[in-house]
Amino acid sequence: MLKKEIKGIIKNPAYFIIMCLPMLIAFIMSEGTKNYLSQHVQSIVAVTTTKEVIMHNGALLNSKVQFAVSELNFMLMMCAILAGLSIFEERKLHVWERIVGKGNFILLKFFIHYAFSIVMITFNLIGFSIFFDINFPIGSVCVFLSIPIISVVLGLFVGLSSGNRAMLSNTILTIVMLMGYFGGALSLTSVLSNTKFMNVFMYLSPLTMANRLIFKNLVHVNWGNDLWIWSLAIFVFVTIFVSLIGRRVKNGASI
Amino acid sequence: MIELKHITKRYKKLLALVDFSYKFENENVYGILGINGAGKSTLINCITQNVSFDGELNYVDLNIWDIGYVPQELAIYPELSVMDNMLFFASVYKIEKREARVRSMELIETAGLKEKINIKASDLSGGMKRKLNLITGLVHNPKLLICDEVCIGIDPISRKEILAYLKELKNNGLSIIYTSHYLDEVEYLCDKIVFLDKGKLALEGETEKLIKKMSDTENKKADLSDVFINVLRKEGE
Repeated sequence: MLKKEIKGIIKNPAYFIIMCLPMLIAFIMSEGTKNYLSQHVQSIVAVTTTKEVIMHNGALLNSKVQFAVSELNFMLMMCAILAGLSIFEERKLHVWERIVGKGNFILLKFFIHYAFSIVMITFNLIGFSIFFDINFPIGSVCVFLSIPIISVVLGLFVGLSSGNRAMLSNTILTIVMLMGYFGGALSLTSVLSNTKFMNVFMYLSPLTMANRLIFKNLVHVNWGNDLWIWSLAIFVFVTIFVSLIGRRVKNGASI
Repeated sequence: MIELKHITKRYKKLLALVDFSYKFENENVYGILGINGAGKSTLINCITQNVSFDGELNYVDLNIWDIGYVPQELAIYPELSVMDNMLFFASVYKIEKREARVRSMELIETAGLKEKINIKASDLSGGMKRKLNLITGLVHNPKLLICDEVCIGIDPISRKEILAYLKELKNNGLSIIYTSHYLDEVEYLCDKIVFLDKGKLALEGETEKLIKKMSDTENKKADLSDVFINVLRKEGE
């Protein structure tokens, strides 16, 4: 079972494309807004994450760093689609109906996709270090590691609920893209956050809190309550979606 | 072996199974018959616990891991080889690797797929895929095999081979629950028949006795199709 799952991941080019995207998109996006914060000094006060924009290593927390954080988190959310498609495949092939101990099977899927996310994080952290000269402290890495918990659980739920592949991809893409927009993957929402209107939308996305934690970590600001809020958010999200997955499995989840 | 008490299954507004009670005994081959939508597949899904339902399901001297299930649709991985498919299902049932390989080899040989052992399932013919579908349900040496229309859409030779194989399994003492629209298959294979109509148990009994009773009533040599039509006629009234 494990061998088949690993083979499935290795043979899927989408995994490798998603793995390489954070660096590519971070480069493209940051070129467009190059040194935004340093060019528009008045914007610094609008950065809600911290008033300080110099990182722990003395480097500027510029758009390249911001996008590196946002894009990696965004791509980790994208893993939802891979987890979703993976479990949907079993349902489509009717193998799902023959799986005894479906709970263990879902757990296996979760761990395999989570393990792949760790590979993706490692690959990108090395890439960011080599090509972007951005080194993330251990605290930031821990936040990166927490994102796939949300994305894989979300993906598995949608994968178990969708009636067809298009519905699955569209549902996950809509959710992830919106999370990406509000979480700062397409524009530096930290710059826009001086509007109350934007604040409401920003905090609908788990990426906002994840990015904020990482930025705080990068500039050596204490996480304070943000860490508890983030942990609670993950716990609530996972609890809700695990119970929904359980309900779906109990009702058959066959196509 | 399996006892079902007052099983009711509802899919939103559709009542698929209504207060169904029955006891499946050991070492028998049961044929489940009914027209499309009668509740055959729902009954099987309830037995295999693939759907939630109201009522009581008891396994006696058996648990869910002792059941082999062969669904109506091909439930194999097309991109995996014959052997890898076997090994995958063996791992689902947590069979030790070496044992799984030996058991898989035996089944592959019996099914006449030895020459195709490393061929992808997608490259097999329809009949071979059906055979693979069947033997993957046997890889864990089940006490009960549930077959949901396993001979659908295949050529007569492959069908004959599959039925002969099932008969052999029956003679070796394996319990089977078999659904099919081909009444000749059911007559050939099954000791007992369960007729379902609109989700209800319409008639049940030993195949031979039911046919004999029908022959006596009609004063002609009857077969299972006469019994089937008679049940539907009665239910219609």
